[in-house]
Amino acid sequence: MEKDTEHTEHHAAAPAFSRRDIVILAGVAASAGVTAAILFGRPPAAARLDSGAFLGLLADPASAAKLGEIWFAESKPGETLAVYEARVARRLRAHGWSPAAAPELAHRALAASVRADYLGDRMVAIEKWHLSETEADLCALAALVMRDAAHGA
Amino acid sequence: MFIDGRNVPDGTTIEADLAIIGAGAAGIAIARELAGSGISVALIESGGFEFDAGTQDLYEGEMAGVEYPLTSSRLRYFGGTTNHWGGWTRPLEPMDFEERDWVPHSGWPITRAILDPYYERAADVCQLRSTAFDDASAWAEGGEPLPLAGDEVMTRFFIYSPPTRFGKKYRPDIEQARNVTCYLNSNVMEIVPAENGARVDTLRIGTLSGIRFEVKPKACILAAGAIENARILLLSNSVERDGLGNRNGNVGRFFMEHPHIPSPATFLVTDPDHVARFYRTYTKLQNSVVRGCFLFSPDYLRRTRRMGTVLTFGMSYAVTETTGTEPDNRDPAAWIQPLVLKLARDTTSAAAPNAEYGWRIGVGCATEQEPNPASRITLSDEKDALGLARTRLAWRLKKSDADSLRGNLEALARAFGAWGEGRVRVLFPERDEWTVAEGWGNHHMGTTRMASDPKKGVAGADCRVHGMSNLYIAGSSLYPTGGTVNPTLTLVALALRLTDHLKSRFEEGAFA
Repeated sequence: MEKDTEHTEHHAAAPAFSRRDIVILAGVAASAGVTAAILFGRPPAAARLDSGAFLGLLADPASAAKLGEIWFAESKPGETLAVYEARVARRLRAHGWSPAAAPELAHRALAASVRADYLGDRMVAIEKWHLSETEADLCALAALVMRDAAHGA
Repeated sequence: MFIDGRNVPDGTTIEADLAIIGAGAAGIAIARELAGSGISVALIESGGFEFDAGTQDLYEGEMAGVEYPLTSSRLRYFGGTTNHWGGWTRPLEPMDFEERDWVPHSGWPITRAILDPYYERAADVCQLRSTAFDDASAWAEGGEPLPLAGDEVMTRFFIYSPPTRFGKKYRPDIEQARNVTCYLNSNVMEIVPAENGARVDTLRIGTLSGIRFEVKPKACILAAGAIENARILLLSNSVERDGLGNRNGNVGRFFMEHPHIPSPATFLVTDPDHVARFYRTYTKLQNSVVRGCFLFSPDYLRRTRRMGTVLTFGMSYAVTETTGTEPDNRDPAAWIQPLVLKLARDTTSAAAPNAEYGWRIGVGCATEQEPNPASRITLSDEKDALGLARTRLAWRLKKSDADSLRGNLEALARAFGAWGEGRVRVLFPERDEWTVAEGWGNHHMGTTRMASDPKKGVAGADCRVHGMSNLYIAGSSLYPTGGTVNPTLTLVALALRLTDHLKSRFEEGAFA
């Protein structure tokens, strides 16, 4: 194997995810996929469920949450869940998504947003991996949902 | 014919039409071309047919800048540094010859188009079976270029020479050429000009055994390598106190290398089948050995005002759920790779689900450095076994060199991400200064640079030293900028061009 001499101090900082945590996240994501069309049109009280809908675009939100935690540890962006929700919604809307969008369209909007980020040099370094801003915001969202789920348990 | 200089009677004077100092890639290429021409050639080589520690020691010197292996990066015997050449060949890009307003001191006095026919001939000299350096369709048997997004990153090709060991391969040609005499174990100690300093009169030659003799040529080519070319000009100071060709103080300046970074980045792809065979190894295709590489497009470099970088692929391995948790894992961040691949698969990838999330592939690079007058060769106070001042090298890299590389790696990240099936980890850090080199290519360039204006260079477009009527330079010391790729093919092409020029000059009676 090729030797990489760099090391990370963030390895230990990322929280371990239990099987139970992952079940919670997966549940959030799965339910969001079904209810998003109904709930997205609602005012701020539905914000939490927006997160679920966005995370429903990910097959493994727990992995994204780990990346989000690494990003927090490295950069301390300090934003709230609502901010990330608004950002992701804004980014996806720019590519044709709406709260009523079918999952396929939502996925297409996500892919288009991510590609546009890269082409537009809108990247975030997470443990030196250059990810798109949309991807980073999704990861942050997943991490904060995960934290909330843990605190609410 | 070969003559051991140690057997030449002390005090002998040898006359020749043309003296070539140095029997490396350039010197041998020129001597071969002149075989049978009627021009009498004295090819003067410091070493013998094999490595000799005492001769090699003449390369030792002093370091004043970025640490650099002055001795092990060169070889001082017949065939020169081609005796350990890796065989990588690729022409410089057309843009490398242009004046770029964002690269101080850039611009060659010749274009790539002028050199193109000589590249073809150089390919023959270097035993290449193809010159499809830019044509992926020629190597389709090895796969397709990665369909990276955007216009910033291009797939191009190195083609490998066997590698040609010029000393071994072309020794019979030199042996049999009646008009070429190669003096082995013969060190040029000084190029002595006529009193006006404008014409080479005599080469003062010494052997480590103590013999001293002279060669009196009508014309002379200095082809001793980019470090030694500068040193010999600086040592030639009995008439011109600052050395020959140095009235404007340019000799020895602008020393360049290609900083090599073993692991400036890694990338992940969702499916290894995306990565054509020609990227991964020294790939045998259609009687050639090739290697796909990434270069950055001229439009991108102009737009971003950056210098070039060439990237090649290294070691690879599959990334699965357990990557990074293996007992023998040495990369503490490896466990993040599956997370990144899963994210890519969720956002932009069209890859089918697989227990292997994808592959991680290492990247190596060589990058261009800005011509820098402070990066230079001067003479040391220390003396070698011939009593000559040793080399003092102050190799300097600049922040702008590091910034260019970093920016190019970020462009790579854009291209992979927007494609959708890959992501890039940029390991080369942002730097305020670059004082320690991670690696180098043994590519010495720039110390007697070409420039039409004598104030800006040592030699003109015809490779003739400014202010001298019969002294020429061959080799990569002529390069005003170094591009990103290995210099050998270009220096052979330049040497062949110089040979044609000199043939014409001799025919015209210019040196009579």
